[in-house]
Parts: sequence; structure tokens; C-alpha cells
Amino acid sequence: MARVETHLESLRRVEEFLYLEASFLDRPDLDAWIELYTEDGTYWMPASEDQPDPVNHISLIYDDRVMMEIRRRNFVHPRAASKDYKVRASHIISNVRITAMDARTGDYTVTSNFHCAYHYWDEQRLYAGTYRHELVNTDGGFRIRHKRVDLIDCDSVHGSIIIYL
Amino acid sequence: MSYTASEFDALVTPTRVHRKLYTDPEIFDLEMERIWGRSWIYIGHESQVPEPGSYITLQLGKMPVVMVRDRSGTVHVLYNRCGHKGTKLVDKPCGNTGNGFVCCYHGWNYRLDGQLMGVPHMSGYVSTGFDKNDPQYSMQKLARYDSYRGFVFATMDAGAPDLKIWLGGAGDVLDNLCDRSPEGEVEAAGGVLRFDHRCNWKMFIENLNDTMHPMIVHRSVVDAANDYIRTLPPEDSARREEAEIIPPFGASYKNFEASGITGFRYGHHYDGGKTSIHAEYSIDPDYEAAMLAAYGPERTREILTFNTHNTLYYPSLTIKSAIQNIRVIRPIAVDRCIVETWSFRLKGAPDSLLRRTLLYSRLINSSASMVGPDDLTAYRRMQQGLQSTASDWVDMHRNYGSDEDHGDRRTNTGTSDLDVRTQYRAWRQYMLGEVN
Repeated sequence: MARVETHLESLRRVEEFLYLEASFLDRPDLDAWIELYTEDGTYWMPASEDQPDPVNHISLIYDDRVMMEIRRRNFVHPRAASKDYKVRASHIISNVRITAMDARTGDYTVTSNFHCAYHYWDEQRLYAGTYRHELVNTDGGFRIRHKRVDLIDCDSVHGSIIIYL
Repeated sequence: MSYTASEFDALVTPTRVHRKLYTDPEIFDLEMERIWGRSWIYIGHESQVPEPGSYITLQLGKMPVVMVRDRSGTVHVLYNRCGHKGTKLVDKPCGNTGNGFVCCYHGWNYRLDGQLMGVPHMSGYVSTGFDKNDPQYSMQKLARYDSYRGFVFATMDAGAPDLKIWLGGAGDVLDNLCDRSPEGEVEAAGGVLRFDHRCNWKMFIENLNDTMHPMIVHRSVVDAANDYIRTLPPEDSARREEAEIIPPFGASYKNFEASGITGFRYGHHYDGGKTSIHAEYSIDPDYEAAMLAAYGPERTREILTFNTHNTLYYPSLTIKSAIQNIRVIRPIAVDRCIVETWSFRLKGAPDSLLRRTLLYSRLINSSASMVGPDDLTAYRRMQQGLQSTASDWVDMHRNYGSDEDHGDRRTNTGTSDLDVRTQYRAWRQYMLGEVN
């Protein structure tokens, strides 16, 4: 019988996965990124602090797989003027904590802080906030069932956000 | 001031406008004074200040303003400035200030209608000539404010025409927005998006009824949506509301021609009426039942088939009655404005209607959507391109000479530049002081 993973080992495995996701968004490579999500996976960027739900209040982004698939195609469309300018991002993820774990399935809920330096068109911006990942344990490793991105300036004025953070 | 009346006159002709209108900071300052200082500007909706003491703050042109409900229930629009040294009295986007305003600096305090009540340590003012009851020390009211079906507007011009006169025939679309509620009322719901536009404010409003751009600018999102939705089993794609909202942005020139454009006095206009890109939306059966119970079949059909796309109340407010969202333009500088998107609940309608409104706002108007950022890219490139002195002119010739005059309104085909010509007729009148 396999040895039970220690908390530190679990945390390390979770961190590796978050870094993998971040590396796809840094490039950005949406084809690889989308494969990290489950078929019922969702990505949510609320537009207000402590927003209780994604659909009865305005959100900056709330995408399921269908919207992710549309966005992925839009991102590389030759006639999308806003995509004429390459996005280059650099995500730093820290303060990673496992806030819930299902001992039976091996699923985790993970919160972390992120800073994302983001170069687009003629400027460099800094996005910062917290991530909440609901990770599903599969034979092929983790998959994301839900990712919530709470920007510290979620309810402020925003320029074009061209890609997932 | 370096622009004379005849110089202004030369900047705008019936078919083209000078590039300086978008690039000269002095013209921007004059616009703030002569257009934004004289026209009725959208402030907010009465539902945003539900209780006595409830307020919202905003910038009206360059000036900080507060909309507040007093203890009798009356809504006021006041300059957000202490009568003492000018400190802004409230500085959150919204909140409740209780029984009155209290300045954070020296504690001068005001009633909810702006009247000065208390000044601490009054003895220092005895025999100084200072009179606490002199109205100049109260919070100042905007010259005029009024509301139409809950939508509050204000103007800094005491001589402005009445709000209802100013809205004119374009007011039909505000009526239609409210009439789509079984109770005939709407309320702001679900929060706001604020989208930074690094472009002149006029570029945004010129785009509202520009029906020659969607098939070019939005082709990428329409292609992406169609490409993917086509791969879904029909039962899945049929229930996707996105499939109703995104693809019509790729409608043909012929479709947009059929929608028509209608222009009014004071720069207002809308496209659509008999049809628009929102005309084919499905109707929630519970909603339809509520509407039929409230209005009967004939009136219900009349309300739901009046399908406009964008309506502009020049210069600050654009609404989508069929979608129940509005966008509000807040100019910041000659090359920057902020566009707010607010969503509305139709009172008495099922929750699904508000959810669709919010879905639309998110899919189309969010700064993180696949639609708004492509429009903004075009505006920013115009802002940059118009720095060029190679040509001084921005064109608006489409279908010039065939605008039909119907007295209170002009109409032309949906792909005409009638909308822009309507705006610049008003622009010229405001800037030359000829508006009446």
C-alpha cells in the first residue's frame, strides 16, 4: 500500500500545478491552458469585492468551457484588432494554502496570491489579487473545475483585459 | 480663447469634421463648458438612492457632483463641494450619509438638500461680515435637475429646455425600456463596469449607430463563436444564450440597412425600430405571461417589437431598451473617457431577464470581453492617426443628401452617417451658442 502523502508533499504538488497553469498564461498558450480545465470547468473574474455569485451581478469574465473555446479561437483570429499586440505576462504566485481537501477523492481547494506583470500594446500593467482554485484529482493529475480571480481593483476602472489572468 | 465663432463654423461642415475636434485640448475644455455644461447630462437612476441619505457621486464634466435623496424623498443633484474651503463632502461611489453631510475637514454640516446647518465655533465669525444664511455657503444645486421615469438628468444651464422637450421623440426608447417591465418600472441592478477608453469621447458615441463596422471589427468573435458552436450537438447550441447574442454582430450590410437610423434635435438618435440585431431573441414564457397579464396582447406585441439597437441621448447616455442596459460616458481629457455599463431589472419580470442583461453586459461591454476591446482598438488607432497633418478631415458622407425630414425627426438607411451628422449639427449649435 502506498505511503500517504504528507501535507508538505501535497502542497508541493499543488504549487507545481499552479506554476504550470501560470506558465501557459505567461506565454500565453490558450490551447495548452484550456486542457487543464475539466469539461464542466469555469473561470470567474468578479467585478466586486466578495461577490456572491457570477451571474446575478456583473462580472468581468465568467466563462465555461464553451466560452473558453470561443475565446481561444478569437485569440488567434487574424482579424481581431485588439489581438494585434502581443500580450506578454509574468505571473508570480505565492502564499499558497490548501483550504479544503476531500480525503476520499483527493480534490483540493487552494487559495493563493498572485502578481501578474502584463505587457500589452504600449504599456506595462500590474494586476494583483487572489486566486481560488478548485482542483480535481484525476488519473492524469490535477484538473481545474473552477478558478476564481479576485483582483484587488476588481471594481475600479479597467482598460482592455485581453486574456485570462 | 483662440477660437472665434467663424473658426468653429469652419471646423464642422455637413459632411466632415476637422481632426482638431478629437485632438485639441482647448476644444475639449470648450466642449465641457458649452456642451457638457449646457445639455442635460445623465446622473443616475432614482433606484440607486433608495433611502433618505442615500447618495451616489460622479464627475459631471470636470466637476464633482452628488445625487442624494432627502428626508421627504426628493432627489437632489448638488455640487459635491463644501461651502467653506471646497472639500468634497462625500467621496465614495455610493453610500448613505445619514441625516446630512458633514465635512471631513472643519465639520461644516449640511441638510440633505444642501442647505448649510452648522458651523463649529461660530463665535469667531461674529462681526466679520460672514452670514451663515447666505446661500453661497450652502452646497450649490445644479441649475436644473429632473427625472424621466426614474432616470435623473441635470444641467448646469438654467435656460435649458425642459427635460421632456429635450428628450423629444427619442424619449420613446426610454419609455420602451420601462414599458418592458410588467409594472412599467425598472431599477438599477447587478453593479457597474467601468471601462477606460484612451480616446476622445466622441469616438465612442459616433460608433453607437455606426453599422458599417460590426461585420469588420467583430468578425473575429463572430467567427470564433460560430466555428465552435457549430461543433456542438444542436440540443446544446440551441440553449446557449451566447448563440443569440454574439452572431448578430456579424449581420450583413443589408440587415443593418433595414434597421434604419432616426435622428432628433439636440443630437439624439437611434438605430432600429422595426428590427435590430436584438430582434430575434427568445422570450421567457413566464415573462411573456406577465407582460400579457399587465398589458394585453396588442400592447405587449407593440412593446416587444419596438426593437432599437443603440439610442444616444447626446452627449452622455446611450441605452439598449431591448437589452435593458445603458452606457454612460464620462469624459476625462481630450484623449480619454470612461464608459460605465449599468444593467437594469424589469420590475415584475422573472430573474432570467436580469441574468440575460448581465450576460450581455459581460459578453459585449466588459473590458475583458471579446467585443468592446476591438472597438476600443479602432478608437485608439483613430486617436493616434488623427495626429497626422496629412489630412485635416474626418468624413461623414454616407447617404448625404437623402436624409428624410419628418418634422421632429430625420431618417435614413441604417448604414447612413445620419447619426453622426445629427451629432455634429448639435455640436455646432452648442459650441456656437445657437442651441435652443
